[in-house]
Amino acid sequence: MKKYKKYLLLLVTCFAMVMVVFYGFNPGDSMAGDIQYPVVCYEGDELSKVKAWEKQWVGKRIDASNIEGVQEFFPENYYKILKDKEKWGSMWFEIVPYRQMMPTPGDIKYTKQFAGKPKVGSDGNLVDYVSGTPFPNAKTAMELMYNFDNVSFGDNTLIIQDIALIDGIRKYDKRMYAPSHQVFFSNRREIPPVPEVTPNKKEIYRASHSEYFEPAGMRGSRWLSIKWIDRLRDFGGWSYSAGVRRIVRRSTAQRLDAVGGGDATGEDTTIYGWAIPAQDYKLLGRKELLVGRHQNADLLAKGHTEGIILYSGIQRERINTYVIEAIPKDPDHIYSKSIYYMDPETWWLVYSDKYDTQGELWKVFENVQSNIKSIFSDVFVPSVLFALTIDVVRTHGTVFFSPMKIGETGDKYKFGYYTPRALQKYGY
Amino acid sequence: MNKLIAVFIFIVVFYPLGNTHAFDFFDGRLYLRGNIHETLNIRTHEDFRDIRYSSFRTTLRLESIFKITSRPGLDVRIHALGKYYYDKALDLDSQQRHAVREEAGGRHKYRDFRRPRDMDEWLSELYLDVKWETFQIRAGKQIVSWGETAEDRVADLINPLDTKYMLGYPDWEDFKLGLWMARLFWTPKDIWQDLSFELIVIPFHFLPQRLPPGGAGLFIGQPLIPNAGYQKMFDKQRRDEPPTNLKNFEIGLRIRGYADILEGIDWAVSHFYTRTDSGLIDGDGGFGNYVNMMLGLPMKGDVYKYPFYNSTAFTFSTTWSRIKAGIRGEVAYNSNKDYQFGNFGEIKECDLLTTALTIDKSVMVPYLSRWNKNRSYYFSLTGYQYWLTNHEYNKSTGSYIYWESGKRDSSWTKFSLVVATGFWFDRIIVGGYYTYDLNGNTYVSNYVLFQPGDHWQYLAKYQQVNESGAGRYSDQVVLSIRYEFW
Repeated sequence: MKKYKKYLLLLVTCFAMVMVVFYGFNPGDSMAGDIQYPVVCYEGDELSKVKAWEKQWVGKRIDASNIEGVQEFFPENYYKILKDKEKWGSMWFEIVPYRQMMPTPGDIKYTKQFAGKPKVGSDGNLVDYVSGTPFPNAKTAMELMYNFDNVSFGDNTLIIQDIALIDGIRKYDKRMYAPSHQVFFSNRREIPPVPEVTPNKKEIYRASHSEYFEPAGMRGSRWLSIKWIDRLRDFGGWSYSAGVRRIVRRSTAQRLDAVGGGDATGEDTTIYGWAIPAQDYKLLGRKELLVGRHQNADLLAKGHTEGIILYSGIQRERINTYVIEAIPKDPDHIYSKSIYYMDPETWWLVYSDKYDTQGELWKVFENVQSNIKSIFSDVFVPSVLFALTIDVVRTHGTVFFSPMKIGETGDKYKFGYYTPRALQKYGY
Repeated sequence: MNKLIAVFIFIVVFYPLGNTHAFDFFDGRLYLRGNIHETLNIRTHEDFRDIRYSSFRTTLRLESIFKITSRPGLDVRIHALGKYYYDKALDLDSQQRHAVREEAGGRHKYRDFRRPRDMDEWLSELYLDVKWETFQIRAGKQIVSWGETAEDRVADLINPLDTKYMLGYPDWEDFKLGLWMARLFWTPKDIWQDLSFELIVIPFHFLPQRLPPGGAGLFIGQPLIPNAGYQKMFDKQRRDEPPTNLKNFEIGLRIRGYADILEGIDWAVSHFYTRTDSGLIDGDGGFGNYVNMMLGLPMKGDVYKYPFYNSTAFTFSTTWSRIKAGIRGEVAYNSNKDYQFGNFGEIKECDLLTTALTIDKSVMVPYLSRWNKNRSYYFSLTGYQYWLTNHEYNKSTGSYIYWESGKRDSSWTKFSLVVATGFWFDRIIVGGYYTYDLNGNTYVSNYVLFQPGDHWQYLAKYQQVNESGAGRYSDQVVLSIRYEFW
């Protein structure tokens, strides 16, 4: 018997070696099997609990008169705004059932393919990242922020930025209209070349080329913004002025100025649109919130009254967000602190409070998401459709209503469109 | 009076357009936009001419783009830009009328004051723009901007100036006269430093700098030359301008690139073979004719000539994150340029080296920025240095080379500062433009711009020119209302 055990052990060992030789041992493959992606917000008992709650609230139209019933599902500062009809105007929203927001097939593929490779360096930089969600099972606030930083809103995207600058005291709007073409050079997921442009000698991560149509004083002006693969590197910025017909290199310090007299600075784009390593982060925990996710764009477009900052018609569903505190490293920064609330499935920042240098609340933000269908591949891309910035001190708001066209191809998605020369080539 | 009524009707028709947006035709292939601009220049100190209102101008600007075709790899459009004005100051201020009549040589010069003389002045641009793969051609009448500095022209020498627009200094694009030219651009793919090439050919069209009629707004103090002498000079300069033919051939090449070093540097080198825009008295013969012209005697030939010279320039722009600023600069070397030496027609050939360095920075001003909810102040500081080689000065005759500085010195140093910030969500923009000339003159301009909505702009500006000889007579307040329709 002892002899048979010895032969059995030898046989098992040989078999294992054969398996290793023929099928290989790829740590990545093993990691891909280990990671859980896509991430789902609710499942099991938690999902049952949410569904039970939904039985009471789904389909209900909520406004200032009955919002106390869902007070716990809003950031405190934002709740106060929604409740104060006298100051901020009337609004209503609808509670809809929670539905998982699925990443695109490309996101899933590359997240799993490169799982375990991206790392946060000692300097806070993101290293060894190519495409997909870098930290699908993120543990730290920094990893969560890099997941946000690498959200793709389509490899080729036209963002139709219809911007309203809303004076809540004098009850009128000013408008800006600045469609922006955007291309990812790295972190490409669906449209070839995937997963990245090669060669990419300038190591561009993402570039956007915006053209201003309104207001009149800015018409014909163009902006080029380049984000680099090196996340420690300042964004590159150029503008073309139709008046002087000149391309001007922009100092990125100007990102802290509000754009066009609005409330959102260049850094407030998508709540935080600057270098991730420029802040220190702390994960404060989780909080269940009502968030706009599968928003019907037409409904929202009809939900605005001139001079009223709050829009009606947002379709909110309950999700369990991450709560992150961010403190800028720059001592001269205009914000002393920000609190972010992050969607755990899409990684988008969905709410935020930002505080001035005196520690007083200055601005609150909301991003409303929608699944936008890509023209190229018919996949649905979770994107931000509507971004609201409210200056609580001056009762003023800025809305970026940004329907998108994802997946187009053509001259404006060729990489030559994202050079300073292109600003003058296409400018008049 | 009929003209005033016509202008009034025009204003009444266009001003109440309210929220009018672009005039689109042919399914958006043709769009038209523009603005109407009303400006009033009020002198704060009247000189011996007793002029109070030196300009009261209604300007209409129209721009259109017609898309002929647009498909992958090929885009063809026609672009047009025109501006027409009517200046009513002669109807408003009788002293201004008197000054033009006396110093420009008669009532027939009122027309020159009131409106653009010809299509050279009111049609700024009309060109065909063809983008085909890596090539682009723009052929037609165009305004071109080279260089990095907007306040003073260093490398930006393509288009001559129409100084009749010198009302709200410095808005360069209104000053420039379009020229008929062809520009060819080539932007190769995947090339070292992203090089791109621009060739400008101006085969036949030459325009000298345009000057207002004698006695008009630019003229301050006692006329140095009586009996409409200035006007004779200006008219003769126009008559002596070279005829339109291939002898006016001008050509320029600009190569632009992006060096991915430090924080990335946008750079350009250029060379432009061109004529001077201001006439020079053509030697002894020209001076003789000049004397005869002033004495009302017959002339034999021209007084003025417009010689060629070469201009080579290098420009760059970059950022410096450590100080959170943008930095840009340019160096231009104008070689073999003719200058007038003294008052008797002698010509000297000199070289002019010009350098300019600009720092742009947004600054949080203590207390002020915080009070204005962290709105920064924009500063742009430029230092200019000019050196004229082969400069000469004849102590016995007092003759010296008349060059861009206007002074006898062979070098010229100047600083300019632009400041701007916004209040009330940038509905109110406050700013200033200041120059300090180490050779003597300074200039101060402060303005307040109010733009409550999407269309209307209201501007009040005070300009003070500290120029020797002019005293306070150049100082003026400029009020303007502008309506944009698009």
